[in-house]
Formats: sequence, C-alpha cells, structure tokens
Amino acid sequence: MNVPLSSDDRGGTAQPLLIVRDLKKHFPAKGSFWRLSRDKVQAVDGVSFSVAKGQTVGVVGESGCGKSTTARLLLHLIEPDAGEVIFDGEGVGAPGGIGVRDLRLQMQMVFQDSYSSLNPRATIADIIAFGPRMAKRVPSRQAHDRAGGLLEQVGLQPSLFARRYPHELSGGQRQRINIARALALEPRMLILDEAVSALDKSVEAQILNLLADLRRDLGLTYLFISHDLNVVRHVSDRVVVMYLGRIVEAGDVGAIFRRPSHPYTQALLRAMPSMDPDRRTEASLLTGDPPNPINPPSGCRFRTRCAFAEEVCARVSPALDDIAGGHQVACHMMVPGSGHSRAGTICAGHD
Amino acid sequence: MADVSTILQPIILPDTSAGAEPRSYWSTVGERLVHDRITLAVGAMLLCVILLAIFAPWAATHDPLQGSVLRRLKPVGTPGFFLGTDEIGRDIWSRLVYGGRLSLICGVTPVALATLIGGTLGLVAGIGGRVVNMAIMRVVDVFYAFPSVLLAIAICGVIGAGIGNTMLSLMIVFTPPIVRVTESLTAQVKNRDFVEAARASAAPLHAIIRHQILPNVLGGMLVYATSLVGISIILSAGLSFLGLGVTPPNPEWGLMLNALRQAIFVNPIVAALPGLAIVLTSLCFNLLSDGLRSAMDIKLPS
Amino acid sequence: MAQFIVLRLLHTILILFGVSIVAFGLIHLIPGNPLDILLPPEAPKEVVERLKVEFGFDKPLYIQYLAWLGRVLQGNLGTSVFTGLRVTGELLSALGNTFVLAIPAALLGFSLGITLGTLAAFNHGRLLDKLFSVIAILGISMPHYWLGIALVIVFAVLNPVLPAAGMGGGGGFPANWDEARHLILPVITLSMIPMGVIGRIVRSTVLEILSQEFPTALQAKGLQHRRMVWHVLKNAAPPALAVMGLQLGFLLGGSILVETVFNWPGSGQFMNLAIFRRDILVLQGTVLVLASFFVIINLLVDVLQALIDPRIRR
Repeated sequence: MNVPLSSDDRGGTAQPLLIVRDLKKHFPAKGSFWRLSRDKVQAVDGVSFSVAKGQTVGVVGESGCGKSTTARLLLHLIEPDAGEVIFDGEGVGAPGGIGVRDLRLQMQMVFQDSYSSLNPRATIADIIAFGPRMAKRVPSRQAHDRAGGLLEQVGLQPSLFARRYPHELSGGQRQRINIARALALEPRMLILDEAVSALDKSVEAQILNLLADLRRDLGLTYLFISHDLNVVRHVSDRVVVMYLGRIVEAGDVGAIFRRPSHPYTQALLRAMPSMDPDRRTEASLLTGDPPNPINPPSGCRFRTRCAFAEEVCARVSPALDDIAGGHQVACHMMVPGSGHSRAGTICAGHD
Repeated sequence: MADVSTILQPIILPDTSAGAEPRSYWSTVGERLVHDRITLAVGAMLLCVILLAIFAPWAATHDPLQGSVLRRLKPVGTPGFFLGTDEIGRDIWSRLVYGGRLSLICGVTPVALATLIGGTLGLVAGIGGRVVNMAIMRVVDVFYAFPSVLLAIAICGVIGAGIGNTMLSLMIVFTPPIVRVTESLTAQVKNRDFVEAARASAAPLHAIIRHQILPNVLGGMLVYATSLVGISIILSAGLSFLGLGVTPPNPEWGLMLNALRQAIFVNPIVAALPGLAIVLTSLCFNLLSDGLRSAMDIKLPS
Repeated sequence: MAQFIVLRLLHTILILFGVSIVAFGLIHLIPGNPLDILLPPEAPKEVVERLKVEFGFDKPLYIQYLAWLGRVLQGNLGTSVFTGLRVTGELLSALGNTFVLAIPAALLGFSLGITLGTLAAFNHGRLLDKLFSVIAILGISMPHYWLGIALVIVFAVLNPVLPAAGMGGGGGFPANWDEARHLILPVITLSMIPMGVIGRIVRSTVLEILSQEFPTALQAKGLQHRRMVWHVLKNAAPPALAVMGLQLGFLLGGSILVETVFNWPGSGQFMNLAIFRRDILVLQGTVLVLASFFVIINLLVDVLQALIDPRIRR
C-alpha cells in the first residue's frame, strides 16, 4: 500500500509502525488485598502483533478477552508487567528509545462514546484544545483556532459547536468530538476502542466513513477494536482475534473471514447473523461455559469450549504459528506433529 | 450485498439538538437555583441576617455591652427595648444583632478553612497512590472515631476558651469529613473516561488536576461545606453555652442562651430568643445546601 | 465473610490505638508543664513530687504512653486529683446514667425516623411528604439544647406538668413512674436530631429504590403491597444502618449539652465538671472511653451491614 510518509517518520515504509511483543498484564483479583491469595486476573497474557504504516488492524473478541486492556497497555495508561512495544523502530520506555510522553504525541486513542468520555464542565473547544495547550505548550488562541479547524474536519460547524457543552450534543456528535480531540495532537496512529459500538446504525455508518476519509487525508494508521464482526470486516486490512488474553488467530481480513482456521474464530463467524436468507445461523460450535479469567485453563485456553479438544491441548499451549503467508493460528490441529489426532490433516479454512 | 455505507455521505451536520445559546453547567445550576422558590426565600433571609451583622452598629438600638440593673429582664414589647432585656439589663435586639457577627464568623470561618485544608488532603489522597491514600485516610479514620461534639469539647476543654480556640477546634472537627467526601469524589472522577483521555494526551499532572478533576469535584464539596456551616453555627453556640467558646461579656447567641437559662422562670419568651436566631440561621444554610444539591443533580440528556 | 470480619477487627484495633494516642496526647497538647495543668497551683510540694513519679513525667514520652496504656488496659484510668475517687468507677456509673437517656432516645429517634421517612417516600410530593421534610430539617437545624430549654419552658414552667431537671432518684434505670417522668423531656429532646437525620436518609434512599424498576416488577408479579414494602426496606437498610451507628455516637457525645440543660448526672455532665475544674485526667479517661465505645459500635454496625448486604463484603 502506498502511503505518503509523515514528516515524523523514522523507519521508512518497510518498518511496521507498531510492533507489540509478548505483552503481559496480570491484575490482582478482588479480595486478594493482603496478598493472601495468589489469584490473578490474567487479562493480557503474551500478546504479539504488528501494524504496518497506513494499515487498519482490527482486533476482535468477546467481552473480557483483553482487547481494551491491550489498548491501554499500548499507551501506557496501564503499566505492562512484561513485553515490549516498539513504535516506528524505537522501543517505548527503553533506554535510547522513545519516551511514553513522546509516544502519546504520536499515538492517540478514540474512546467509546459514553457520557463520561468528555469533560462535562468544559466547552467543546476547550476539550479539543486541552491536549495541545497542556502537552505541547501551544498558546491558547492558536489552540482554539486549530480546534475550530478540527471541528470542520470532523463535520461539525465551529460557529455552532465550539462553545457548546457535551450534554447538549447527540451521541454521534460527541463521537466526532472524540475523534477531533484525538487528532488535535497530530498523531500518526489512532487506537479506536469500541469507537462506534454505542451508536445507532445510521450514525455508525457516517462515523466509519469519516474515519476512512481521515485515514486517507491524513495518512493515519488505525488499530480498530470492536466486538462487532461486521464493522471490523468493513474497515480492516488485517484482523487479530483474541480469546481470554491471548491471540488465537491473525491474518488478512479476507483470509480470516473466508478461511477461518481456529475453532473459536469459526464459531464467532458462524454466530454472525446474516442478511442473506439462504444462509442460516447454524448451531454453535462452542460447548461448555466461558471459563474464569482468574484461573484460566491450562494449555490452550479455549479447550474447555472446543469440540475438538484433546489431551495435548491441556498439556501444551499452542503457539501462534504461521500457516500461510501472514495467516497465523494458535491451534494444535494446524501444526503437523503437535500430538493432536487431527494435526496436519487440515488445510486452512476447514469446515 | 450492497454496501450501505456508500449511500450515506459525510455532511456538515446542522446543529439540530441544542438550543440557541450554549449553557454551561454552572449557569444551568444558577438558573435552577433562581427558579427554586424555597432557595430564593432562604437566600433572601440569609442575606438579611448577613446584612444585619455587617451593619450592626446601625441596626442595633443600644450598646450591646451596657446594661442597667434597673432594666433587668424586661419582656418583649417594652418601649425602647422591643425584644426585651437580658439578666444584666442589656438590650436583647442589639445583642442579637452584634451576636450575629460572632456567630456567622464562628460558623463560616472554620468550615472555610477546613474546606481548604481538607479539600487539598482529600484531593491528594484521591490522586496519590495506594500508600499515600492509606496514610491519609487512616489518620482521618482515627479522628472519625470521635463524635464531633465530643472532639470539639475535648479540644476546647484542653486548650481553653475564646473565639480563636473555638474556631481552631471546630476546624479540626470538620476537616476529616471534608477529606472523606473529597477523596470519594476525586476517586470517582479519576476513573471516568475523560480523565483517562486527558492522561493519554500527555498533559502534565497538574493540568489534569486543575482542568479535569477539580471542576468536577468542587460542586459536591460546595454542597457538603454549605451543610456544615449550619452545624458549625450550632456547635459554636453549644461550646459557648458550655462556657468553652466565646467568653462573656461578648454577645454571642450560645452564650446568651446559657446566661438566660436562669431567666426562664421569670421571662421565658426572652430566654428563647437567641435560640430562635440560631435555628433560623442554621435552617437557612441547610436549606441552601439542599437547594444547591437539587440544582446540581441535573439528569443530563444522553 | 470471615475474612471481612477479621480485616475489620484489625482495622478497629488500629483505630483504637490511634484514639488512645490522641487521648493520651491531650495533656501534652497544652503548652507548659503538664504537672501544672493537672494540679491546682496551691498543691503541696510532696503531692507534686509523688505525682511526678507516679506518672513518670521525667521519662521520655513513649514510655509514658506505654505505661499509661498498660494501666488503662487493666481498667485503671487514674485517680482524680480533685475528688480523690478513682476515675473508672465514677465514669462508669455516670456512663450508666447516660445510657438510661441515650438508649430510649435512640429507639424513639430511629423508629420515628424510619417510619416517617418511609411514609414520606411512599407519599412523595404529597402533603405528608412536605410536612415531614419540614419537621426533619427543623430537627437538624435546631440546637437540641435549645429545644430542651423550650420544652422545659412549656412543660415545666408555664404549665408545670413534668419535672424540669434531675434524674429524680438515685441513678440507674427508673424504678418507678416518678423517675420515669424525669426521662420524658430529655429523651424527646435528645431524639430530635437522630429522627431528623435518619428520617431524611431513609426517605431519600427509599425514593431512590422506588425509582428503580424492581419494585414495579415485584408488584407486576402480583406481590402484596406490604411484602413489596418489606423488600424495599431491606434494600434501604444498609445506608440507614450506617447512619444509625453514627447517630449513636452523636448520642454518646452530644448528650453533654442536654445533660447540662436537664442537670442529668451522666457522662456528659461528668466531663463538663472535669473541664470546669480543669481535671484533665478525668477528661482524658472520659474521652478515651466514649470514643472507644463509638468505634466498637461502628464495628458492630459495619458487620451488621455486611450481613445484610453481601456486596459490602468486598
């Protein structure tokens, strides 16, 4: 993909903008205040992926799979327990690398619209100007002018909206403000955490179009987190599927949606309602109850709900292996010689 | 399947959902306050009390400290002393008016100081890490172990009477509750998305506190502090009543109440008057606090 | 649940330590020689010397504290330099008299508050509700000692129906109707503020619960009105309980003012006398005991709350 390089570019076109290696975060479980119990919520347990410049990578999974925690780890809003984040070739927080503050000037987050994503006591212009004024010492007048320009860019007329307050706006308008606020610091990458999940469908379509235009006009890179598979399919170039803190499958959007290889991905796709009357929603491949994130199953975490689970799945954690040109799956069935009875007999996209 | 999204093009949105003029949160609160009849009435009464206190030399009819044995305990309606005289013969109306100064000062000052100190501590406890929070809140817990009346009396009993000591002791009594309320508010605000967004924008901590956290905490603090003023007035009067607060011959409502206690057998109505003043003023502050809380509890449209 | 109780117990013990430190530190708050504070200026030299050794004022502060703590834990709160009587005994009997006042006041105030608050909430917006709001807010705006005086004026002076002061007997629970008559005015006076505070909390909590959907859902299922009220009350209990605990503390600490008005020989008057006589030792002991009671009551209230509301057990 031909993306014009930004002026802040360091690594060149071939360098992925973001590389995440083995990111881990465990939270002490509630009730373990005195550290009497060793219970930990394994929110993110060894997540690795990369995002190329100008790309949109979608992250999908059910609630509690760790997607939002991962987003916050990337921006160091939560401190990771282990792993590295490499932005345009420079390690974040590493000596000789890029500091967290500088990272945040290049990578911003758009939050899910909820009443609490915008400061109820501040005007829209104040909200958008806050970042540049406080983080980059931009003078107030200039920051407010820029805010006006950003409002236009996201489709809101500055003369009408700049002096309003969040409680006077609709959901779609607030989400545009969220985007404008994220863009105020002129980042190169945006993390969109369930950015359209709370919107009505028609508004959602408008916002998605806006995001697509912005990506094109500003040369942005996106990490798009959502539980809605339809939306992810529509916006992403690559997709990462998460389950209980781990990545189970990753690949180009076409590969994932047409040839899903991990049982979990297949189950997710099966459960998507379709507009096509000839495609009926079939019985789910999932069995068993969703396991407890505090004490996840040993080995492959999906095995308690997997129709194909075997003894090797409990003993050995499957690694994320490349099965075909950038398509990665973490499942013993896809790896010949892993010990699984169906290993090696299956091609990508089996049914 | 047709791609629905291509049908809808991004357009510059008209501002369909809001009124003509932008309305900030505080101006909305102000509007609601003004339309609340009870709050208006109470506010007016409070204003009267304050004005009387400020302009005491003009409002009083006599010297509050000068009495005459001949005029002891005259009843209400006596010509020239329309609210009667006290046990030393001093004019009650004048003493009430001057007493208003002392009572208001003793009511407002400790609360104001406690809000300053307690608010800061509460903010620090709310924002600081676990250790800081525990340290501050455990000390607050210890002070919470004393019922406030007990604490005020004990402190005053130890350091002595006098208006300065009274205010100091009340300030100590009110700081722990304010710390608790502020800490709780701060902890709630800290977790909201817009604060996280502010953190993600690489802004320095002091800017986040000043622009994001503080404006959202001040409202709750104000409501609570206002409700404390009423209590402060009653407590300071109580301390004077026990002989621990303002010392005679200063006119102070609690002191007057005590001095007139013996008079209830002679002239009961007169004995009750200072108490009435206390009730009215405290009532005004409490109603004001209630009105403020209602006005601030705006169910905003989503 | 057990873990919760243990944690709260540990917390309470910590607090009690803090309380003891504050109580101990009272003497040393005052500028000057503590001995001069404890004793009247005309005390004979050998008394001063004896006390100096007994209290150990010549030793470092923390040793004084530990020695004092040791004595306290054995029940020895010292001997009053004025009366020569042991503080512990005097205090406990005075405390007993305060309980005679505080417990009925608590029962009256709580029950009135709960009843009126619930009634007001269920009749939201109507006359009953507004009437209650007025009474409640008057209750908390009023200095209760003034109410006491007013009641005395009305019932003991203008129309002498009830006694104006005193316990009317030798102390302890009223043994006959005459002694009980002495209780009436002080108890009513003392119960006003708890009634107001509890009433308001109950009213606002019940209102909040009623605005949720589940009471309507319960009624839609065909539940009797009375049973639905019971459910609502159960949900309103935890915050109300917390406030009741605090109010109990108020009754213990705030009784001093009412006791002064009614000349009631309780712990409040005991403390008042101590302050008047600058008997710091007695003051110290009284503060320590009253505060400790308060802490323990709060612990019991917390445990009760946790029993009723499982969410609190963290």
